[in-house]
Amino acid sequence: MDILIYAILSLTFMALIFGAILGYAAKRFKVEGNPIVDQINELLPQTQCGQCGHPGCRPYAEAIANQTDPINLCPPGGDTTIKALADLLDVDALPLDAEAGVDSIRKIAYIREDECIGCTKCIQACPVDAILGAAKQMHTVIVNECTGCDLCVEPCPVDCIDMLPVAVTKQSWHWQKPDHLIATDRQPKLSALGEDAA
Amino acid sequence: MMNSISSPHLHGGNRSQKIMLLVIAAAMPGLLTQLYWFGYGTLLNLMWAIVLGLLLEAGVLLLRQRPLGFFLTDGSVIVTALLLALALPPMAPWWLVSTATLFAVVFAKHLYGGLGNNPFNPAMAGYAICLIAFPASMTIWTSPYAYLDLADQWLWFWTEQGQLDAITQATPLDAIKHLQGNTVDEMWAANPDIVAYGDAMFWVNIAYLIGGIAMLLLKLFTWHAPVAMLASLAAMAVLFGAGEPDLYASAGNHLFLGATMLGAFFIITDPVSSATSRQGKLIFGAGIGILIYVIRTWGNYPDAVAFAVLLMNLAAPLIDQYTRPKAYGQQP
Amino acid sequence: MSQLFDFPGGVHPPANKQISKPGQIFELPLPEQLLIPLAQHIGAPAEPTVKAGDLVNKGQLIAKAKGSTSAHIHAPTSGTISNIDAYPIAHASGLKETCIALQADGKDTWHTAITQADPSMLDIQQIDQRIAAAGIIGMGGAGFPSSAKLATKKPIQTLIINGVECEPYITADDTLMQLESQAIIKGACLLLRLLPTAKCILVIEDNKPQAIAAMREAAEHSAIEVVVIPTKYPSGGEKQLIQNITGKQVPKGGIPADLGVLCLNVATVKAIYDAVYLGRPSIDRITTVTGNGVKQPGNYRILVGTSVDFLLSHCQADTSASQVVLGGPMMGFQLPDLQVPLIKTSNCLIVPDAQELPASNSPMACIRCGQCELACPAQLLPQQLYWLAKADAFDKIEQYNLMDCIECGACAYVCPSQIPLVQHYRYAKGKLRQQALESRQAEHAKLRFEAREQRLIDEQQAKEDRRKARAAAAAAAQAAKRSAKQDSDDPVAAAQARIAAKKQAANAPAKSKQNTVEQIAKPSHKDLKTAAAIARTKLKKAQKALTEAQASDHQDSAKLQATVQDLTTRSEAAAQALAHFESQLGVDPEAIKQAQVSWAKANAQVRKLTKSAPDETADAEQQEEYQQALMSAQQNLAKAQTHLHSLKHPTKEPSQ
Repeated sequence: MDILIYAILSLTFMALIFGAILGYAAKRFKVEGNPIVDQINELLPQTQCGQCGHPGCRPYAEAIANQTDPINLCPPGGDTTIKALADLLDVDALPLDAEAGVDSIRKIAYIREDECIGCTKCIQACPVDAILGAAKQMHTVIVNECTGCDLCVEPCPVDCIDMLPVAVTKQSWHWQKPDHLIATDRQPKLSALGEDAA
Repeated sequence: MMNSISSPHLHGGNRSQKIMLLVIAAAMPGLLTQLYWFGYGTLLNLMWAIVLGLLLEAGVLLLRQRPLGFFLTDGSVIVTALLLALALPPMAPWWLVSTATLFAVVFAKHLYGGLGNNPFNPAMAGYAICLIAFPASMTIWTSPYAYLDLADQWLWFWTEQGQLDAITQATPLDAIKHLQGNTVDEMWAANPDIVAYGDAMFWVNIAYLIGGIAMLLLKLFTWHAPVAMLASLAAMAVLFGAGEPDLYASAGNHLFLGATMLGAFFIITDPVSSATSRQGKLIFGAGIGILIYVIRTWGNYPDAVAFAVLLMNLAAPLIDQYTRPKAYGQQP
Repeated sequence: MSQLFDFPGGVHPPANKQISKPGQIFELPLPEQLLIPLAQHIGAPAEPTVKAGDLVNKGQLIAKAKGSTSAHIHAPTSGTISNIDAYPIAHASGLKETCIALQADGKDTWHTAITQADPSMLDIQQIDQRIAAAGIIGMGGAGFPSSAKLATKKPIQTLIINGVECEPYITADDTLMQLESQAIIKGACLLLRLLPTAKCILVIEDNKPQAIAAMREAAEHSAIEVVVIPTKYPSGGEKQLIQNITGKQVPKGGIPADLGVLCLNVATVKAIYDAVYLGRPSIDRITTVTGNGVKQPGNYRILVGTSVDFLLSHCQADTSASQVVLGGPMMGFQLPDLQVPLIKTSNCLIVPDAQELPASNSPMACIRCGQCELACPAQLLPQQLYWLAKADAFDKIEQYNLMDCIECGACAYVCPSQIPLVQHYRYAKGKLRQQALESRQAEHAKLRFEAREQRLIDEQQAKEDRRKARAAAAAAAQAAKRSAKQDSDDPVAAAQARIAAKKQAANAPAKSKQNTVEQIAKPSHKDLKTAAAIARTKLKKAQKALTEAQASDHQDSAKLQATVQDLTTRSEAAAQALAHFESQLGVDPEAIKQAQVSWAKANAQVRKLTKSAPDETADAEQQEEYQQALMSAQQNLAKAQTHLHSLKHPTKEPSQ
């Protein structure tokens, strides 16, 4: 019986001591700022498109860091970004949130210049200053700077901005992943059957 | 975009099935020698292991919703069954073979994702589980010459009925392990039957060596792992036998008794579960050689190939990590 | 050559070189149309110097090199430029790129500027110039501009001339060496003049005895050594060849010149001979047409820009059985389209019959057999790369040196599971390049975004500061005024106010008058507008001065009042003049603005409706209601549009 009491007492005592050490360390070595936000921000595609519901990539990074938003709200980043975020934060990768939009091919804004009335609304909307123009003057998009974020389309009162997919060139083209299955892979038809059964 | 096929448009005509068939062919001398010395038991083991292995594979593939037509031809189950049958004692009853096969095919292979994904050598995993679970049954070896005829063996295989005492005996490695105060030479002198056993094992090992060299010449694998294993085993035997040669088995004993050659050329060369690079294979083989010696000499089991292989299987990913070869132009 | 070094890996595929009867060159009739791509080489595409309709002669420059890594392009025959446009090119993707279309006139007249020269009379700069002017690029397949390669500043000790031709089927270089050995040796001697510190080695694989004999004979009294190496694919790869000859490996990320080595293909050396001795630019080449699907296989002399279809129909090829491969069977690609042009680097066309180059069986699982590792000449771990590429683990695959893969196909050739390894690598490489580009773009976008945010914050801050400063000034003025009142009239302040008011009152009518005069003299729309605006402003200012003066009970207030009245009438007159002018003109900016606003409103309405379309589950009544609303909105929009258009483009001309 004594032994039991001694064991409990000594373990409690040790727990208190280590707890105190840990508590002190947490205060003493507290990391100022929140570098995780920077790390998350590095992984985001920086289109500043706001499709996640935040005004830009960094606010979304902050929201992820504060765990107020899931990691799957970034359509331009797509699955690659989700995977990278999941790796960084050690959480499960989620499928892209359909409400936030769909992961699609890269697009770039083009202004149909003869229809532009020079209202400057798109200039104000562009997060990366990629639209050139002045009041009552025709505007145009600096193609190399456009991130394809889509934010200029909505404000245009005359609807003269098109989002056009970036053309594939010999340089940007690459081979597709071989699509045929390995003979021992689960065959699509069978898997559909399996899901029905389940 | 059209779906064009990437180069190369030529293929060497090498197929996995061909490799499997060659491995099976290379094991034939060993199988025949083993049958010659130790009777029909191995043959029954082999038949039963193949039949059961194929059935189990088919069952698991159905459960995993994989195509069935494919597995019958890939030959990997047959190789696993063959290795199991060769490794199991000739007097193994049906349930022992069944347990080993079940564990090899279902647990060691398919639960890890099937062909190409198993971290452990399936045959050795099946063997090891039996060695742990049924140590008594796993050590019944017949004396050379004194084996049962086919009918009696058949009866024994299914019912375990028959006169065993006359035909079973301790293996040489077992005898060396339990010297009971004698020196190795005294043991040999006192037990002519064990000497005869040793001779038989020698020829079996030679047969596997021949099959192994044939596979080496056919470039089914590189020399690295087998040579490293045999060399390290021999080196351990010389090193530790030097002080007290009377109490330790010699290098020759280690190389030509037990499952050494079977292990060196048929087990550790299994590409799926071994290290990848040439340097890695050297380390992998050497580790197995050392572990075989350690377990044989100081462990509980008289032979140790299965455990040594499984332990090094565990280490293979780590070895791969640290033995990545330098790519072209990447100077140190 | 005392010693040959081996290189790791390699395979021995069946050579099948006899099909194309090496040692004979067949001539082709002149095609009617040639399509000459502007980007045949690595680097920036050339810039056309001709336009549609121009007449050109054979060998005339039609596109100029752009930048240092680029090459000139010349007309392969005489004729008319019919078009410069995007056409499908010989590329695995089947994409279109800009090509110059040349309609041959059938005369094949050489350009007059093409002259022969005696190289012994030329100095090094002149030789360099002739090479650069000929637009020569590496004809072994890579297409690197030769003059850029020769311009290296690094000391070259070894010049390797690559006559290895290790790929199966191809015999173009073999044939060239058998028939043009003298020209090749002369070209090599020229190169030795350019690279005075180098020794020259010409390397041939031992399966081409006739080429070896011909080259040995031609090289007998020269400084060029002919070295024979054992047949093994891919011994003709630049890096493998260098290792084979020198025993050294080109450092990762480096070029052969880092080792003091320069490699050129035999066909390139022949082109250099043509350029320097004959003055001829690179406009043709030898192409092997082979495979069991061809009735007349052989090595054909083709003009750059000849269509694959033209060549194959001349060789009586049956392309129905299987896809045509451009290049060798190990590294070539299947042509998506046979109308594409052949270019300076097209060395081989294979038309296989149904059994010859079979599509691989369905791949099996990788059993990690390690055959690929033994075959890999770049000392990579192909199976690890395969696992990683399959799992899209791009960060990791880079650590496994995927980018050092030369895509030779040896691994896939030996793979017992017949996995399309090279395609996995190409996919992963493409993804890696794409990711690198995207991360560069993201970094750039981030910088711009941050700069913009900072700018907005700064602007906000500046506005705030100005507002505060104004408020402070106003407060100070108020305080001053209050104190002035308390001190019962500060004469100075009052005097100042007076002077200011007077000045304004005096100036405003003068200017307004001036403008009115101008307006009469030259009543342009813009001037009228400006005049009206100025008159309005002046009026406002005067009014302000008046109120101030009245507030301070000034004696001049009566005078000021008169001025203001005068200004008011003038301003009104200006406005009227403007309105009159505009009504004459037929353009009413106010109306346009209004029309634009109403158009935008109608447009927004339509968009909103389109977005909120009821789904299919909605009942018929809702559907109909929605349809009606949409229709009326669309009608509104159309009306607004026509109205806007009629306002913007009046039919009536202003009468002046």
